[in-house]
Amino acid sequence: MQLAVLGLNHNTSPIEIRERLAVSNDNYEKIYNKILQNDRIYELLIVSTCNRVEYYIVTDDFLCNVDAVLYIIASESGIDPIELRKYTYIHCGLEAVRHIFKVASGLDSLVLGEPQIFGQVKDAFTKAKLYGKFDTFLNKLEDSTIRVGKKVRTQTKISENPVSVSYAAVELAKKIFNDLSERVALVIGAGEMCELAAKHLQGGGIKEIYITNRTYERAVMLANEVNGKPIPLDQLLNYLKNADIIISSTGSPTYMVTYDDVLKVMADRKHEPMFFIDIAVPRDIDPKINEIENTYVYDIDDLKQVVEANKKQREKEAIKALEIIDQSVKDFEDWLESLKIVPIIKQIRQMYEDIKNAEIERMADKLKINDAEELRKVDIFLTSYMNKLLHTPITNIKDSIKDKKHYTIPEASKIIFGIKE
Amino acid sequence: MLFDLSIFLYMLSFVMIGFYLFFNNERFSFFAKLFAILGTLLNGIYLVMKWILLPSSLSGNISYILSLITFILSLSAVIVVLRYKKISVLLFILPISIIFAIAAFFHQPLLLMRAYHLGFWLFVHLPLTIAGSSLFIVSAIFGIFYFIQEKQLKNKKFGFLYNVLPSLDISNRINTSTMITGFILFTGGLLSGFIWGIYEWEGKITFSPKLVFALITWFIFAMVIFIKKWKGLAPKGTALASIIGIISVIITYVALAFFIKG
Repeated sequence: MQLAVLGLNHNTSPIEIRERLAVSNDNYEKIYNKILQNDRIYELLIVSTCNRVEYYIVTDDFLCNVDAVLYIIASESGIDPIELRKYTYIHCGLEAVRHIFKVASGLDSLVLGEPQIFGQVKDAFTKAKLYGKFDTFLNKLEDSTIRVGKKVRTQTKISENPVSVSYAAVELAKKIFNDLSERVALVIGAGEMCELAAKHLQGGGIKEIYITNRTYERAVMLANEVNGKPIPLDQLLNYLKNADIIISSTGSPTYMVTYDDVLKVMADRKHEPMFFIDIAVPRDIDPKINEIENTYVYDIDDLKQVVEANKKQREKEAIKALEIIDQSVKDFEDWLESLKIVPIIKQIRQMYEDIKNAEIERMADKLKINDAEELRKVDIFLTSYMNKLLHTPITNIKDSIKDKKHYTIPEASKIIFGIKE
Repeated sequence: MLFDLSIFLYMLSFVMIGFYLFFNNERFSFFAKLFAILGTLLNGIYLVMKWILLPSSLSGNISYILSLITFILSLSAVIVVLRYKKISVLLFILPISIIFAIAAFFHQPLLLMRAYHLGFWLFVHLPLTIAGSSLFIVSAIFGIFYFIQEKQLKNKKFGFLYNVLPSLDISNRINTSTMITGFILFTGGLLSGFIWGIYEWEGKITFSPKLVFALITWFIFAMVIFIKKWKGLAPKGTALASIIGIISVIITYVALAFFIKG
């Protein structure tokens, strides 16, 4: 029995293909049923996000059954199977295990280390339990994947440093103002960048957001989206005094906020710091403002530098994450090996159990014992005796799974029965 | 024994915080916090027990004074960690605590003053002055944090300390609040010292160099707090003042003890 994965992601396929293969919430049950009609597929897990669609199958013949899955999803999405194969990848055995560990840790994501994928993988396991066949293999895989994902996130800094300009800006703001819930933001402009930054600020728990724009209606629209307050552009300087964080991204050819504006405002603010984030080109905020005490001006280039440094940091952390994954794959391999031992242990136990029962029967006949209570006591005594006899060899057999050395029969016997000399 | 154990816990906490920053494992952060809290608790119990059991030996006892400074520094660090969830503060304050603790540990329980010098006002004077000065140390540490972090943010160059140090407003808030609390305690200490002096020297106050520098220290902090409260003072100004203030404290208690009789 082995695990195989058939999938495609942002690296192997264009969005047009991914969106045709994506499994919607209403479709899960149907797809699971269709694939599980193949009785050589014993367990199934489907991971479907905006950047990837993956089918993990537990089977005894992965070559045939992966193909079968490919034909099913090709027919469901209306893509030619030969065409679809060009966009897919297949991993099998421990490589498939390593792959899901990497996916859950964010190492295979478009944005390295992004944390959402972990929740999506957990969600996929829940759906597999609901609609699919979920047995020993996927149970262990779920347990290991969640453990690896958590370990990578707690033991490395892979998700710590923001790698988007707007998020990096908000994280920088937190280095000046620890608690955003006591702070006021002023967003100048209502374009995509401003919208993203405003959403990040709202997510960071900002107390109040004022939004101003040349077209007042667009300011109102964005304000409604982020629970902010729209203000007319000609009121900008009046609100500047109360704003701690100012984000600007307009198409204005001149500065929206000048050095003199801030100089006047700072006297009224009793030296409370101000953080300016200028994402516009040409710039909206006079860079000279950075020379004023307690003001910090970051333009798009500064933020890009921060993002680049953070990306490099994440790449370094990814190496640590891979070490964690390698160790976890090894642990998974040990577990797989242990599965080979389980039937042997079961057989040994059964053999002993049969001998015990035969002996009790023989004894009952010979000694003419008919009392069921007496026989029960004998059974308890012999079961305990049998368990004690089997404890050492079974424990040693289980422990020897990790041992990859070859032994002669006498050597192996010594190890199994715990004979020192 | 209690104090020995608290020193050991401070050291363990310091090692754990080092491990936390190096390995980025939350478990180390938890233990660093736990050991710091336990160490501070034991240090506090030790001080109270000594206060109750041996009140006559306290006021001039250098060992006791140093362990009181250790306690106040560690307590401040623990409060900051619990209030602002900035565990890395322990990395900077605990070593100073440990130095004071080790000094207290190795110091002979020498009495600076004879028993007949002891009185109620001296009992009040010493703990208040020491507590006030210890808080000035904490204030200066956060003043330095402010300068480093401010420079990194202004110049847009981020080193190792960028992620370790608290945000600017936390540093400024602690810098100011410890300065004000320290100033209130220090003022209480000076006033009780004056009263004690009046009793001791039969109505005459001798302006020794130590007293003069203590007054200079008080004056520096009084000015800063006054300007900050009524005119407004930039956080950088407060940070700078706290550093100048601590230099004055060091001159008052350390430099004068070595170079000038007083």
